[in-house]
Amino acid sequence: MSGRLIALAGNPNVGKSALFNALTGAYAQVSNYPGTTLELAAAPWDGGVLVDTPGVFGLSGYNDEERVARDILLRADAVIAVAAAPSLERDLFCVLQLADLGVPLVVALNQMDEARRRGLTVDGAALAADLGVPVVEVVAVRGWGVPHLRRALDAARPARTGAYLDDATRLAQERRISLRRAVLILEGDGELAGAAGVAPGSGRERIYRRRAQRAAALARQIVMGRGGRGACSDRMGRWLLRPAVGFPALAAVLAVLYLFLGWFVGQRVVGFTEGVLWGDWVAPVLRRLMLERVGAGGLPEAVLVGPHGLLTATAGYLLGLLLPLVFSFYLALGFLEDSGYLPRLATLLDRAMEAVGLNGKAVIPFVLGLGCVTMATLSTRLLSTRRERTIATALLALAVPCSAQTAVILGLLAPLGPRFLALYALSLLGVFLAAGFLLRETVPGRTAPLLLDLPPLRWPRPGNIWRKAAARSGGFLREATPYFCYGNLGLALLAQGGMLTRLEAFLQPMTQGFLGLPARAARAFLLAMIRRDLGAAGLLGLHLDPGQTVVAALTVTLFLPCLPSLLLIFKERGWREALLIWLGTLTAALAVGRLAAWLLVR
Amino acid sequence: MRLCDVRRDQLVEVKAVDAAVRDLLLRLGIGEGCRLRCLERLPGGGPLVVSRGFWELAMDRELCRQVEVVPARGL
Ligand SMILES: Nc1nc2c(ncn2[C@@H]2O[C@H](COP(=O)(O)OP(=O)(O)O)[C@@H](O)[C@H]2O)c(=O)[nH]1
Repeated sequence: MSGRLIALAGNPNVGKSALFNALTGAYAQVSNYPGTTLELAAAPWDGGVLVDTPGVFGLSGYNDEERVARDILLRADAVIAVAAAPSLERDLFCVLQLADLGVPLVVALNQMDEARRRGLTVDGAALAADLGVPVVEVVAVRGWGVPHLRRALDAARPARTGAYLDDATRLAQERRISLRRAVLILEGDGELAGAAGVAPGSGRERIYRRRAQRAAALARQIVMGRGGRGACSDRMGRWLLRPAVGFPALAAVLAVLYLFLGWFVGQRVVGFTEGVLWGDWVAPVLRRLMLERVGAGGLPEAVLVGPHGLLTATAGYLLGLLLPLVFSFYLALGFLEDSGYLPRLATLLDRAMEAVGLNGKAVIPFVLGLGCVTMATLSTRLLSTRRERTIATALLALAVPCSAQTAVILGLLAPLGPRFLALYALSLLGVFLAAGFLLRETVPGRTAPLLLDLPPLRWPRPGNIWRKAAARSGGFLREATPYFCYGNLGLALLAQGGMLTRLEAFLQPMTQGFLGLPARAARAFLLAMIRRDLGAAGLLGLHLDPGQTVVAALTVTLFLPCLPSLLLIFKERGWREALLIWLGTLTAALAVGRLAAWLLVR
Repeated sequence: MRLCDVRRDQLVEVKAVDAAVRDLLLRLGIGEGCRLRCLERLPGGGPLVVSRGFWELAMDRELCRQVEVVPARGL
């Protein structure tokens, strides 16, 4: 039994990650929209390895996720096919496709609680009888039925396949390939066919049709009950799709977000953590302790406890200012994700997104981008075509500020009053739309029509939101800390040698002449080359007037994407596109900054 | 009749799907003979929201144009 590879597979959003967590006790992110399992989670389990595959609607090699899932399933020793009881009419196709592969199989019928709540019964035993494999009813988020599933895995066996695949056995024997390969080749998988030296089958449509018919017949047989309609959450979900309710609801969501993040956390909480906790209590003690050891006035003082010191400035920004905001942001984002609101927002905004050459689905990466642009860039994979992924990546790199950056900018702009904040936000929106329009007209290819699952609206579980926010904030700290340290270290060293002043003088034509900012703002832009939030932090303490503040905030926001996301752009989009995005954002930032300076700075 | 012409709350049965999107929709369990209910039509040529059993999905209007349906009764 040792060393078995067991794969979880199924449609997006059926609860694979939740089941993965319940089975292994490890942590994979759980969210209420399709496309969350972008990075494979794997954990040692039961003497072997359990892998969570990307959610797919089938194994047709339509996109990277489907190819990744296929490659894992070709190697797996056993597969847990996960289906959600409430969406069984949809999920059965994928379950049957997995069954048809002839791999040792167990079916997990998840979300049984949700099914019951909607007055729906699902006859797992009938499904088991039809497929000839164990079927286990589970509630992954509560761990209910999970031990049972574990035991059932010992009884995993190849399912009874559809009669439409009889040719596969022959092909497998002839070519000495595994049955699953043969099945996928018959279904028209060109890659696998090439590897086996045969022509891909031409019967995909026939097989799919027969399989869909079998799925529909099964669904009629095992899904019972006509509840569902009229449930309060269903009605709410539907209202959110009507503009007359949806747009006011969106405004309300934004207002609550602003109150929570901008006012409560941004001013109250951070005022305490950064101002009192760090500024009054921790930092002075650290400074005194360090000065006793290293003495005042030298390089060690500058590096450790000076204005750019690692122990004072850097740690203060990261822990006192950014951490509370980033964490709260992820709490809010987690709530939006888990409630099922985002896919409805995507549907509502579908038409509007056409203006920037995208469909409604792209709303999801943009909202995620308000958390972390790097993470959002990764999630552009859920968009269907190359053109969409390029446009979304470029817009994320240019005009979507991440939470850490927003944190600092809120700190700069909030004291000036809502007028300046609105000016900043509207300018950003304008840039987003203008750039989006330009991209729509220039990026080749096509935009796929919207086809998006609407998961049920549900009240998020606080435990999951908390866990997800903690995991993401931890990731943020791990990723950002080195950059902040090196950035500030670099500045401290430059300042010591008098280099910084010279560099600032050198850049003066740009900062002062072109953007109307004090020469010292140059250091913010130098830092912004590394990370935009770091750059924004460099603006603190420059004593800018309100107009200059908006100019600086806008320029730094639009400035280059942070180094981690830039690296990801190179990896995901190739160097040519990445270079274009890099140059484009730089040019746009300076152009918009200049325009704003011309309008706002006297 | 095409799916894009269906009224809100109307129940229809799929008769045929244009070849270009047939595989795509079959994988979602939407093919000849399946029943769909139109839950919402977003204004301005926006997407349709349809349900198949207890499962809901948003579909671009153009995509709906490629699905031939007839009115269905009951259930
Ligand atoms: N009510 C209920 N919700 C569940 C269950 N399992 C998962 N979910 C929810 O379904 C959504 C999708 O779960 P996730 O694990 O991210 O799905 P994945 O995309 O298949 O990995 C999340 O909102 C989960 O909280 C369950 O057993 N019952």
